[in-house]
Amino acid sequence: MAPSLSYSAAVILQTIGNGYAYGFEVMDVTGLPSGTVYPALRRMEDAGYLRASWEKAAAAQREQRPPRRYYEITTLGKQALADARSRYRLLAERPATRRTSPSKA
Amino acid sequence: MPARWIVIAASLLVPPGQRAEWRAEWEAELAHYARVRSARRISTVRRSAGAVIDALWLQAGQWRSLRFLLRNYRVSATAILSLAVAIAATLVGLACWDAMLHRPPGVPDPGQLRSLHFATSDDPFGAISYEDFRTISTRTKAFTTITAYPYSVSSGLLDFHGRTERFVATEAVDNFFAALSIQPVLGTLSLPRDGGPSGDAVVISEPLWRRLGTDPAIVGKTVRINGHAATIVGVAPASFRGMLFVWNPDIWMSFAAAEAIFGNPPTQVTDRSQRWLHIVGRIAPGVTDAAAAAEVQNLVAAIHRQHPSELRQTVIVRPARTTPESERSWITAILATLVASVLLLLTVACVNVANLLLGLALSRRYEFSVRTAIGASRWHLILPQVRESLALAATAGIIGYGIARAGLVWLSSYRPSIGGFFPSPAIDFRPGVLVTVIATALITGCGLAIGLIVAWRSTSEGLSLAITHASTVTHTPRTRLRNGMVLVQMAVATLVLVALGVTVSSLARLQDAPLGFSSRHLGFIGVNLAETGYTEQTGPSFYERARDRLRSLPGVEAVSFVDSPPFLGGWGLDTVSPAEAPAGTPAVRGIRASVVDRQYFTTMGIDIGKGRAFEASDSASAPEVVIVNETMARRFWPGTDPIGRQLHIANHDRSVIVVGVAADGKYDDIDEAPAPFMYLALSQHYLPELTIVVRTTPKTAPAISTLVDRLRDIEPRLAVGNLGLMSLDQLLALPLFFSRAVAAMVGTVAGITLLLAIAGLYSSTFYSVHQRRQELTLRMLLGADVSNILGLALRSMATVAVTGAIVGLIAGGALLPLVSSLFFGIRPVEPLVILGVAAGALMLVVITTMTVVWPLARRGPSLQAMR
Repeated sequence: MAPSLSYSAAVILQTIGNGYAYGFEVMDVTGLPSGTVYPALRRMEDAGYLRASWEKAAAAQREQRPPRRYYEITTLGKQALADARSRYRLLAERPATRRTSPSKA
Repeated sequence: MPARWIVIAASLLVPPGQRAEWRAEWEAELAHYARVRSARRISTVRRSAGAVIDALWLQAGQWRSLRFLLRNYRVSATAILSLAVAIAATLVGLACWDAMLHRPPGVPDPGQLRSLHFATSDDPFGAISYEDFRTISTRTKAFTTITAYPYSVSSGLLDFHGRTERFVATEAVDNFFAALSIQPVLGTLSLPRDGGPSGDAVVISEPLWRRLGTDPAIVGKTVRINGHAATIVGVAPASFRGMLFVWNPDIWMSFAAAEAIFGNPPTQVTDRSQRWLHIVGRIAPGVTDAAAAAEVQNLVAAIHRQHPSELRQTVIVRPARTTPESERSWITAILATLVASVLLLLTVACVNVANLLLGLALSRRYEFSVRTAIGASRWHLILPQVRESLALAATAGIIGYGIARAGLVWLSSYRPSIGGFFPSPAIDFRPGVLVTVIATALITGCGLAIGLIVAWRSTSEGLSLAITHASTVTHTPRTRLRNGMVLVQMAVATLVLVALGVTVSSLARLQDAPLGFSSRHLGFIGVNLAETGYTEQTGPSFYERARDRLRSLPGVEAVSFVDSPPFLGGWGLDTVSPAEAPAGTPAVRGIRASVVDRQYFTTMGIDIGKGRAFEASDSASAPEVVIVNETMARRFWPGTDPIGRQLHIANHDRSVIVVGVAADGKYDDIDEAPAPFMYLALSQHYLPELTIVVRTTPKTAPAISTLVDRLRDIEPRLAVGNLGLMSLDQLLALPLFFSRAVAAMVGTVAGITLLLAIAGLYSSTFYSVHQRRQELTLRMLLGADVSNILGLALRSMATVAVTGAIVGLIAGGALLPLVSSLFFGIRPVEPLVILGVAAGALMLVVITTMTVVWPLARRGPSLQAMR
């Protein structure tokens, strides 16, 4: 059985699930500090709840910035999030789905 | 970009296989932060600090060593805590240094800001008159803008829509905020020039605005300051803490407003001999400090040609700093002592941690031997130990940073109740980027040094033997290292004890210093009659009625009036000369003078050595009289009787007759040198704003609020002036505040150092005695008693510890002559302090050794110990 998520980790997982795809956005939406968000992202990537991929270099070059690392939720992550939602009622009050997805093209 | 360097440094903690990707991700994130930062004010440095935690988390997954530390959690926790305390103290010391001596004032583009000083033979960082400032500001080309402000504040009570607040106010010229590029939170920061229209305009600080209820429409509203109506024209941002040392003003006002509200003399803006303004300016691009100084020097010379009576002044241009140049030397000395002390403290903590880890390393000798036997190189054995100590140091660093930051945030907003003032500090002590970088380097350095020492020692002692003699301990090299550590700790602890002894002795002497007045049960009440309609004709009768009313209360022994009590400043300054001095004799400037009534000397307990105190006959129509202090009498009439002599006072060009000589006293600071001082008679100089001094009996003294109630029986509208209500203890808190703060600071550092040294000494003794357990048991079996065993242990440990203490005493004795002048009443040689510290250090060694040895010796020989 997969380990149960802490509340902070569940918030971060839900935020990724809502379409906020990289660390800075997650920090902005959740208000959690960088020292919490990034280790949690790595733990959940190791646990298979998240999948990470690098942005295409061409897209980053168009905006004259380095390529970002994007995270997306996996099927296992969705199951863990559903389990977390049943335990943490406050998760339901968190921000809704992002309207536009980040460009990965 | 510091944030990028933090990420690069943190990437070294990330396992090599993941490092490149990790850095790429963080650098991409930081690039994004930097883009939105200006819009959202996000601190990239703060956010990049998360990279360190992220990197540590990644590294933690790799480290077997961390598991070892967790298994030995007691030792790890002790090491982390002692290191964290030392790191916190180091950070506090460094942050104080940075905030007070290094960091420029909190204004935009501080690099262009310069302070202009006008040195005279009396004052190397002198001020300038208002008229001279105006002349220079209109003619200078070397500065794009210059502005002026005094190093003084006034305090009082303000009333805003029924809400009463204490405040600290200061004055500034009209372009003060514009020259410093300070933007308002609300309204405008432009003060009226020279009392023009809207002379009652004041700017308030953001903290005061918040205390008044954060009214967004406060601009244009009226506030009553010490009873005077003033209009709030703007709110200055909280990030601007003023240009004054220590004081963080709540209110800035024009000179005209200060004249109306605080009764400042109008001559301060018209009289060129009143030099009270300090100048800062923005230097023009491409102009050097020397060129700017030369240009202003020429302007000063031109002023001197027009006004030959002006003092000759040498212009000095320096980069503007939070701490004024005149205060920097002694603050540097004190902060240097503090930083040296905390670095010593950090050394002690590192030695302790190394000692503890050396002890732990013993239990791993077998593991290391096996790994060596199967082919591990020495580097493979050293690396995990270095990682452990780095992890310990990083954890201690994070805890220490948290402790220090909390303390510094508290210190930056601390509002002590000193006398009638409630100032908040003008200095932001929170650690900046520089301090964070230095602290990170120090923490890393400590971790590396501890790790390398421990690893080198634990892998250099015949590891192959340990497989066959796993329980054998090789003594000599480690004992030498351990003894060296004990010696260092004792030396540092003793040195810090010397510093503590000097500080406490100085404070004790300061508190017992003769003040020039013998009364100790005094209360002070500031009153302002001008606001209640009293005039020069009606005011004196109020004073007489107030005296009678208060004097009739049980517990009141004497009542008197003075313009300003000691240690609160506010004295008049006069230029005087003996009337009979030969023509051409230069007058003495800046003689302090106080206006007092005829009971003042008996109320305060000031001795009149010669002549008399003021009398009823010294009326406004009688010849003006003066009482001088002993120093002034000696300086003006050496070897002769000053009674009956005449003094010429430049202000209003008048002559006064000396009728008495009062004992010398302390007027502005407890540690000030004897200086000339004179008293003028209240009956000849009516003042509407005075302080009532009440001497009470020790046991039946009425509360000061009761005294005020009785005064309001006479005059219900009486305004309690800017001094408010305070006792002598509160009054003395002002001059003693800094000395007490320094004593508390040194005491804290000394206490922590001592605790760490005791812990280190205890662990060393404990370890050493337990290493020799077999030998000691054998000796007991052969007939040695408790005293023999104690003596043996004392000889082995105490020799090293006492040597360390002697080294510390010698260092303390050598440093004392260099710093003795910084402390009140401390001589270059302080035998009592040195002897006291020596006795304390000796007791420390004996008690620590006995605490370890006593239980072992009392239990007697144990067969288990022989196994």
